[in-house]
Amino acid sequence: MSGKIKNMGVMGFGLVMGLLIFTASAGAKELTGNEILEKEEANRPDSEIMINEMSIVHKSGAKRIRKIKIWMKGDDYTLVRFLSPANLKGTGFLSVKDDDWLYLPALRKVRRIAGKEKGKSFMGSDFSYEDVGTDSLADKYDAELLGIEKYAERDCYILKLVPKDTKAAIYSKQKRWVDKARFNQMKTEYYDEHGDLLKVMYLSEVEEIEGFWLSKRMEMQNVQKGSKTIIVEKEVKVNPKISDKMFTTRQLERQ
Amino acid sequence: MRCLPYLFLLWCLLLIPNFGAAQSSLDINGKIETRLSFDLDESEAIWSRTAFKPELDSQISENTHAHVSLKMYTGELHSDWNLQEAYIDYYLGSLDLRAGVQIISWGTAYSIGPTDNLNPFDLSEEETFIPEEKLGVTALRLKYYLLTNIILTGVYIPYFMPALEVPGIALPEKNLENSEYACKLTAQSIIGCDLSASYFKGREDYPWITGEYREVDIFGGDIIGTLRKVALWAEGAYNLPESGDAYYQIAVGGEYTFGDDLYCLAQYYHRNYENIQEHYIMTVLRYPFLDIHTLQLGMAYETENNIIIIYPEATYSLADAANIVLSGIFVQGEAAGTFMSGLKNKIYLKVESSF
Repeated sequence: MSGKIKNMGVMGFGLVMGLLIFTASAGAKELTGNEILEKEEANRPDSEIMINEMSIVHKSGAKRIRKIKIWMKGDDYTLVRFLSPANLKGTGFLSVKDDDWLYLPALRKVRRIAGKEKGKSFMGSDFSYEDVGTDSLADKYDAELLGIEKYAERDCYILKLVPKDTKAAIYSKQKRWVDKARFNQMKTEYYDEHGDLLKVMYLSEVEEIEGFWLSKRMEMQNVQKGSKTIIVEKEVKVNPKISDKMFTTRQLERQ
Repeated sequence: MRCLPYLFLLWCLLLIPNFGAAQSSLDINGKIETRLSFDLDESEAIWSRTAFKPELDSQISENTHAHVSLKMYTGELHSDWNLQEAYIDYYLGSLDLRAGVQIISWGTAYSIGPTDNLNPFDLSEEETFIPEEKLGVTALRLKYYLLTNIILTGVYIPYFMPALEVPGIALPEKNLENSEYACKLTAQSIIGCDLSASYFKGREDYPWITGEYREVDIFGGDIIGTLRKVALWAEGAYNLPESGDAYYQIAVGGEYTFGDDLYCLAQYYHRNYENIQEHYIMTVLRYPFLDIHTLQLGMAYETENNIIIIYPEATYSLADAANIVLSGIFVQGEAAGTFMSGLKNKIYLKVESSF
């Protein structure tokens, strides 16, 4: 009996040691590309209220500045209101799931508009609706870890994102720099359907707000058109309570 | 015109108490535009007009908002001003109330709305073959949100205001019997569409046929939805005047943007009015050039009389809210019909700035 117990003790000790070694080796194992992408997406608030200044710099050098207020909740709810320039002031855009409405003060009515196409320009800028959207990338792309390198004095994972469904994708490939410690996006290269570099996005002025590492400056350069758009976050509220009633045409119509 | 300075003074005085208490809720905006028009017919006349359109918005409390907008203009033909809108909004639970001089826009159609009968066209605006602006009317509007996507709207307009006052044709007396009423039921996001049914009891804006502003009952409906990223709409109305034959109007159209650049709109409009058949096909193409400027080409074709109207427009952006606009109206054929009669070939040059 005592021998059995001794044997069991030796086996138990071996099992515990084995588990410890396995756990230690698992901890040291590098994350996969998809795991890094999921961690990056976990570093996003559920809701935000922002005031952004968007500078669109065209190839000719002409610059146009728009100030917008955005309310976002989850993947499905967005309300955008133009604060300036004066001729766009009061213009509003509401998106609820697949439904979109526009309010133009001059027309004095809310009008349903054609659903946004993910690849189209977001309000005349170099960002597409997909670039600024909150849809999960992990659902659409397979991420492969290419390596780790220093970028902007931070250790970054370099990911290659390839669309799961090439027909539905607006980019053939993305190359993404993700901060190794904070899991925030630092830079992304977007490639067109021919595999040529289309746009490069640079994110900077990263701050920790309510436990999320968020960039306050995004610059998107369209290398094919020669234009760029800079979005600077002037004010932000992270995870505020926003009622679903905020995302209705009734609110869109109110000044 | 004489009372204009006093009105401004009153307006400014009204602002002062708000400045200290709620500076952030007070908003002053507006637009200045000056325009030269060149007649291309034999007269080769040149006209000019400068307009100033100030607007004031004040968030008086969480549930109360006030808005005032004026339109003042001066030119060779005449100088005038009008109170475009002056209303107070009050929000109470599921009810939104708006009282005062206001423009109420109904329907889904482009430019010509069969159900959009609450405000007369502002005929002092003449840039396109259909006036772009309407005149404000004194009204009480109630919007009740039965659900977030089901809305019941009721409108009461105490007295009738025509688009055109014709000498010798008397306006109806301002009494309860001659008041106008309207209601509308709107449902949003029904299988990807927004739709409305409406009723209007009032008067026609023009005394065209009978030499009087006829009483009319108008039953209307409209729908807008999307099909494969193309927005499609339809709007129709059945008009029952107090005298003469009933008539109807329909508008069916769609819009789509190719890539990020080329915007296209097409609409068919038909009206059967006192045995006059009118069919219009309208198109608008808009394309940006040199990134920030815009070219637009509008066309309207009236099939019964073979009239074509082309109205191109080039907008050169000087700054964020300042533009130079070169536009024109070119008529092919003998202009006739509700929207085309009296149109002449013209070129306009306009400078506009918003603040």
